[in-house]
Amino acid sequence: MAFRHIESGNRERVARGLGYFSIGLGLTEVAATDKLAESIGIADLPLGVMRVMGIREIANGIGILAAPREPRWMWSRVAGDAIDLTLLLLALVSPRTSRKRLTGALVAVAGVTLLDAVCARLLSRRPYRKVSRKWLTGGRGLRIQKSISINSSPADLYRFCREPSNLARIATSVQSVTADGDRQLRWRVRRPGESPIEWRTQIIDDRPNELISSRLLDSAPIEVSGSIRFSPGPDNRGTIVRVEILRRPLTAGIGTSLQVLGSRMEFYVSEALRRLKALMETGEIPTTKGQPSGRPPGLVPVDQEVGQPLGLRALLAR
Amino acid sequence: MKATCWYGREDVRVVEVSDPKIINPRDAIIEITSTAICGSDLHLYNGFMPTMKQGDILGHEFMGQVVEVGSAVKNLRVGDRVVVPFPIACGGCFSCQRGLFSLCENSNPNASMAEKLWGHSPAGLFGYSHLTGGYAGGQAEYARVPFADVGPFKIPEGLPDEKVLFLSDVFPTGYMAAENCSIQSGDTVAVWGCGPVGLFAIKSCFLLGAERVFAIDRLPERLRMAREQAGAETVDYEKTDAYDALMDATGGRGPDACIDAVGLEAHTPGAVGWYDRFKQSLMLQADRPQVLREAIVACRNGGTVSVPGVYGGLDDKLPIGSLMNRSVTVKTGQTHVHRYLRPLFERIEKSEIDPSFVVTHTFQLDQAPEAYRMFRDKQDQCIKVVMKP
Repeated sequence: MAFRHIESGNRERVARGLGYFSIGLGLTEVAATDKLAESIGIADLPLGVMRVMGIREIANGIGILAAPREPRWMWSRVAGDAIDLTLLLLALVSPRTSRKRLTGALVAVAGVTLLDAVCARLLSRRPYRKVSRKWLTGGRGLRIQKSISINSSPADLYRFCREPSNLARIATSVQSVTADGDRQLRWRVRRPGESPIEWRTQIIDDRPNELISSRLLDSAPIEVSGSIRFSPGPDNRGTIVRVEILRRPLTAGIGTSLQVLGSRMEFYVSEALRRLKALMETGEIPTTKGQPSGRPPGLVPVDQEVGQPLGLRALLAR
Repeated sequence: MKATCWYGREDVRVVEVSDPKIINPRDAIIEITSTAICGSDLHLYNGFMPTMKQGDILGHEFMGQVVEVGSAVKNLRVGDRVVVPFPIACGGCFSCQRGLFSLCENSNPNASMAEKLWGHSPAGLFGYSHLTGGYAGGQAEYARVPFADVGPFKIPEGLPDEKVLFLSDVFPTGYMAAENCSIQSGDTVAVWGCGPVGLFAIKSCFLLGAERVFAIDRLPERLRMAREQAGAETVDYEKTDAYDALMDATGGRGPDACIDAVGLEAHTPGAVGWYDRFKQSLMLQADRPQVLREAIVACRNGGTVSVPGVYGGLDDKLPIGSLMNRSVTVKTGQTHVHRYLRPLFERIEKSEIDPSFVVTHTFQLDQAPEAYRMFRDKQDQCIKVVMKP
């Protein structure tokens, strides 16, 4: 593209200019709606629509000024321009529109759209790319990593986690875990509104007091593996327990039972680690389930326990 | 049993609810003989704390008799008279082992929610919104106390409830606020807020060796109590500018330490007040931190600002520049009540202090709605309300 030679500093300046332009235009659309409509030649456009567009413009402008190197705000302008163009084209249909004025406005908006698109393209060319922590750099999978510090020895924790029935105690969505031979486990996992699903895992690496690593069986073409690691904390203060779960590829498995191994998984893992910590450090799971309450019947229950905090529905309830 | 429950802003009712029962082996059930309303309860009453749900039982300052213990509680027996600290602490985590009981890592079932707001979660508290675990509180006839082998403190017979009830919260809170000032003998301390926490803070400053304590408030009955009961020199900030009064008294240097015993609902006159209220109404700011601003600015170079006053969110226009450039230390936190129970009880036993001086009103539990209103509006020179179930 011919604009390749434009340095990033100038690109930012253009972006800022468009940001101020956005705010200015937005303010006009909000504050001088009638005058603007008249000058564009629109007779029938409901003024409310123009004001809403104005607010959108102002918000977009603020976004650009706050982060002038971010291409997404510029692409957002392009999207807004597309909406504006559409509305103007629709206005062309009305008989009371001033054709001449509206055509002028259309040309102007088309020109701004072009400028926005070019600027967005230029801003999108950056030496780095933001990588979400959840994505592996190659192979496109999902990686979950959670850790917690627990006041117990690596040996005690390893022993606890190696015992299958304990896994069900700490993972609330797991109904039961039973051993199937020395290295295989059979899991029954709860699913809201459906019958539980059964999975089988195999331990592929078992280092006492250090690591237990497993993989999911019968899941091809999806690969799922997980590990729990026990490292002594600094100055031998307790243990740092790290759980890692890898699932490859990300896009497969939608619609199957493995869909549950998505980003919610991170939440389940961190809550399970909390329960592990509470059990090891206090001997029980702190809870408010079963406590007295003056809650009117019919409202969503709001009790909770470690590993099962208030859900979104309860949080939003009165 | 009867319990004081929250149903909305300024809507507190005493309703009939089920009795508490032992849920975990380390629980105990207390039959409550006395319970108090705290200034921080007013933040719930006025609708400032998020995550309150209809029917939540309020109250975190309570004491009574043990009527049932869980299988794992060995230190308490049925019939023991106990005061219960307001934070719930397990005794076995990193924080509890370091005496930071209000930061227990296990007792808040909603830790993930608090983490999103504050980065990490503090302990669960009795009766103080679901952000701190949603535990049923103690403004009721009975309460379930988790980790009863760590929290409840045994009190011998012979001392009236009012003398020891405040070990649950306000007395250790004032004391920790004073302790956080690192008072050296001869120091001058300024305390904003002459409610119960401020009053205990003033007394504690003297116990810890301060020479002069200035008490800042605007209500005559509170200023009088600060003067006559606690020994402070008072400043009525509606008549005198607090900063000017403090500079005058300290030869322009400023107090060695400043205590903010007011917190998020500071009465803020003038233009700044309009600014804070405006931002609060738009939910752009959770608190009105005017006292914190004043305390920071008034504090001498190299001094300490101690903050027992409760704040919740992200606040605006705080003089960080003043803090940084003048080596000011800020010490704060929800009180680690458990570590003060024994030392402060011993002071009470030796008659070094009688905490019941703050009590101005006693109600039946049934009268909780009127009690809250009176306490909030500071009617009838109300300073501290105790309720009897």
